[in-house]
Amino acid sequence: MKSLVFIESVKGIPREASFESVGFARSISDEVVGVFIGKPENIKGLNKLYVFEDERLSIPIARPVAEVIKEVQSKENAKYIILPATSFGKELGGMLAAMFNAPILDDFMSYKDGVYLKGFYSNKVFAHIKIDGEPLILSTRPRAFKPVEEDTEPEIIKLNKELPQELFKSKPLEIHEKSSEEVDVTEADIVVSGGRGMGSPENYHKWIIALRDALSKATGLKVANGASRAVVDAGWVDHSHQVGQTGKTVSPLIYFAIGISGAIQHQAGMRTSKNIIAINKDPEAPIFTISDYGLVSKWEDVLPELVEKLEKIAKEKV
Amino acid sequence: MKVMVFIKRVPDTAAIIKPSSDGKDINRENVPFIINPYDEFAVEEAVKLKESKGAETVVVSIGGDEVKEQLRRALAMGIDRAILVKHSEFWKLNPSQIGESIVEVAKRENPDMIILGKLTIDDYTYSLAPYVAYKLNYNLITYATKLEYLDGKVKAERETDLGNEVWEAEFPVVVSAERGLNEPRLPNMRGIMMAKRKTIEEIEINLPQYTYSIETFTPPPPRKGVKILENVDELIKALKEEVKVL
Repeated sequence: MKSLVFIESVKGIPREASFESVGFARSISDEVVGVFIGKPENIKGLNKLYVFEDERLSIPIARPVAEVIKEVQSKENAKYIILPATSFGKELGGMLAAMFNAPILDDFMSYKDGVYLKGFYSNKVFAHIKIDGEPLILSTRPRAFKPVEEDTEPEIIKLNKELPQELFKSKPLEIHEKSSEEVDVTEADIVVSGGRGMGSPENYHKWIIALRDALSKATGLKVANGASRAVVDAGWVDHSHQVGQTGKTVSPLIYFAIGISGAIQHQAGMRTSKNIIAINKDPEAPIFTISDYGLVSKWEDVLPELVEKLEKIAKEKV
Repeated sequence: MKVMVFIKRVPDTAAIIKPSSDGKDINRENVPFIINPYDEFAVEEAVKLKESKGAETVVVSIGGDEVKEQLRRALAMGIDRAILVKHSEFWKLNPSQIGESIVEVAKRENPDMIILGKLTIDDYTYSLAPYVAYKLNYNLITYATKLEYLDGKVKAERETDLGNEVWEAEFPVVVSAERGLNEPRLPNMRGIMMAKRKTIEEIEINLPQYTYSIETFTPPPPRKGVKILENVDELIKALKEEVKVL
């Protein structure tokens, strides 16, 4: 069976989550066809790659991109259409479901023997789902699948299609990208989250950020700062950092919960993290019940020393 | 201007959710239900448009009689009319089926703008707004954190996993609401009394059939238990030797 994968890119560079989608596609199909907007470089794991260039799509817009995928699907008739469940991929997925009158499963996290697993009620329960369609639209949760390993060189096919201007009626005017140090919590390998126990926004901005940067230098991994709903509501940090049921759901390699008691809404957003490290002065805090490592201490007694020691490790590495 | 809002009835975010005894559903007993929090931003935005621009407002939901509780709350917040698409066990539907029910109501109502949450927190789907926009051939703006209404178009700040953006789109438009768009009001007594007297229109729609079923619900895998560390050196040691990131 054949899969069609949309390879999402930012400024011409494919996003890691796209290669995870290809990795999943490889596991369920014998032929994988990609679609790329722009000039492709270093795209692996595909049998064929359809390439479409249009300067109006330097920032991706879902409606015209859906039209490009329709064109490819009319040639390939793939059984599965697979996207990364990024902000853009989730938007595009809904459009493709409408375009092909197909069922959709967005943001699922694993697949085995015909059953898909997806966190419902933000991971408070896992749903085991049977779904089928011609085609079937699927989006893979970032970081839940292994990126493709095969370095197959795809056959490149250029698409010549004129997209009518009427498809561009929703359009970007300004883009304020995150700076390179700033990684989204959903894409980070390590998330350092602070809660009300940090006491003040100044403490959060000094110490959570210091730990984020020290971990980034010491490990070489992508590290993001997260927050509980309480501190987002108090205005300490903007809600793009909020982890929890009405914020983002994350599953990094390490999740630091600092001064976070661990309300059920917060747990829902981070309990699938591989390693959870809690630092809290209250030994009864619910966060310890789902943590792997716990330090029952005031953050003031931990963070300065931890940051200093991590910085030392980072220096020794250089 | 006419604004249509879609809301979904979902368990309260603070509720403990567990699989039912046969695992086919979640345990719904003693679970309080609310308007999906992101849909509540949509309701507030529509009410603000009614107040500032005299917009005509209508709220739509899908489900059985129990959903009238959420529709009445939206009415109490200030929405003019409510429509319920009748469906038992609407929580078992695929997003494409829910999307189709919104599309069918929109075809009858012809709104200039449809607002709904970016995400429904029960089945965790982001698909409804783009689905509806495509089917109706409306313009689409997702993840809106701020909306400004200009002549014949809307300008929006939006927030994605790549950063913040400003987009614009002409009417008719579908907008999906992100946290930050507004602060939903609490209904006042007058609103609640007025909402009680309003009739909720009930309609039936034939939905497309898909192969889609939730076979079982299971609790998340248990975590292995906490290891209490005494000091920072033990934490560094764990990061080195057990997590292996240093």
